[in-house]
Amino acid sequence: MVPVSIKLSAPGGVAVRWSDGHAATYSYAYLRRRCPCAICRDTPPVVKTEPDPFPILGKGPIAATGATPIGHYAIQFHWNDGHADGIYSYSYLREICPCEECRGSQA
Amino acid sequence: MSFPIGRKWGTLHVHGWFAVPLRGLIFSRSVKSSKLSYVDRRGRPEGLPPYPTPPLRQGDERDEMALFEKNGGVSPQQVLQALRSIRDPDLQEDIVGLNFVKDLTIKGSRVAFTIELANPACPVKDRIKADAERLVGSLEGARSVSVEMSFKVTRRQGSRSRTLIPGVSNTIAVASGKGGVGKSTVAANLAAALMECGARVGLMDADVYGPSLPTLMGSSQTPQVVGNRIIPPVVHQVKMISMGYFLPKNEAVIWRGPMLHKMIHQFLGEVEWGNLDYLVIDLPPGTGDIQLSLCQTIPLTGAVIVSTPQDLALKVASKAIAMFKKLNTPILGVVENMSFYTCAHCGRRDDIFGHGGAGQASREMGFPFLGEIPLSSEIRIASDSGEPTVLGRSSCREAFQAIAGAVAAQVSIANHAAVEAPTIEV
Repeated sequence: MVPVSIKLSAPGGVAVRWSDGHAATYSYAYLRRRCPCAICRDTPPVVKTEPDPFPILGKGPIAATGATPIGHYAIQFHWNDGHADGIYSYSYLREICPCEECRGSQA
Repeated sequence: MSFPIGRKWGTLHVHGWFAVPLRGLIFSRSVKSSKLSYVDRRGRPEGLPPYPTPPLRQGDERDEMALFEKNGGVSPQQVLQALRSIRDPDLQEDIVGLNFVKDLTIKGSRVAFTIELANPACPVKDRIKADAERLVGSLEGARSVSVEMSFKVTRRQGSRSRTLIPGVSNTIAVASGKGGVGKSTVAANLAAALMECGARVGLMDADVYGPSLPTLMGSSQTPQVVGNRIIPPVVHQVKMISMGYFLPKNEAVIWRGPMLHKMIHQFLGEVEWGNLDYLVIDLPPGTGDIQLSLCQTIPLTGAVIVSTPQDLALKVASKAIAMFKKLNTPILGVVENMSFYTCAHCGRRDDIFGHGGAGQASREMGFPFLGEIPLSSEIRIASDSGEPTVLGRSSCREAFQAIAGAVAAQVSIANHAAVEAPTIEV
């Protein structure tokens, strides 16, 4: 299963459309918390979702700033908190699909 | 054609249609695939303006339609219709639908065209040519038919923008789980065989621990560095890079992962590969840092798995297959090396490592079987002397040629069937 399109700044987060027609939107915080890199797996990251009261000091709520395709099998997201180590394989991305339907089957 | 029109304006270039009123009328009707258009018959690369139309000689027919009616020749549609019954052996589609018929020109009863296959090593090239000549020749009004065979290696759609090496159309990794099964020998001969068919080929030795390609290809010169680009030496008309070029004979590479990753990056991104049809990459044994880095750094066209018929080797090869599957890298097929041995003295055949194991395993797993290579001292002698077997006179050369043909066929199938990579919108 591979994605057909990945939109990084869709309303509500990252919108992914799959080759089987399935489509879902992953919120930035949801994706960032599930970063599969070794460090984040060991210590899940603290993710800011609320706007900063002093925006001059911080970067605001978490958001994806870019993404790199990795070979034929994965995508690497770049986050506005400076992190970019997680390689999200397509199968992992599908596994953590947040839509109602997939959550039902995961439980 | 160009006209000097004074110093201030430089040269005025006139191409194609604009040249027509200046040079006289075009007398031949040209068809590129099914669309009527004026095309260049000298095979100018795509994107460049066509060559100007040659001038008419005195006495030539000015009106092509009049010529057509007078001689009762064939129409381009008739020719294409006749060719529709020829199917590409790899893609299993007709060659007209695949847009393989190029540069069709009809002058009265003389028909000429080019068939441009995707596989330079197509084993049935001659049969396709003969079929085309026969089919078009049997059309009423076609007195002479001249068919030219050429090839244009395809690439995966959308791959150009997603890779470190945009000039390289296809990357083929030669892998196996186990060491010593002949990966490098297969890689060297695969590259040489594809080169012999006319393709532009590069060979990258990703086996840093035991770089054997310099020996196999008989080259030892140190690559030149211009600016910060490495110029790969050209050996047997194959551009080649190897760690062996940079290391003194008795030194070894003792590196951890990040260094290996950096090397893969440099060998791909900083070597001046130019435009290649195929880049053959010889991997070290195993499923480690180098294999992973390679599959992450570029979207590989596919992997060729080499194994001996022995169960032991096949079990380890299946690990390599599992890795490529996990990384979504297509498997082009399995090669069985050291398949059998024929005694030079008595001529008796001995299956030292068993026989047919790799073929059976590939069928079970659903991969194409690419061919078998005998265990032969001829291959060993050629390899040690730096002359790939396939370029020599050895009886084993056909085995390698057949494998190269099968690999090129699988590449063209993989490119034809490939699902497009996901589009990423920021």
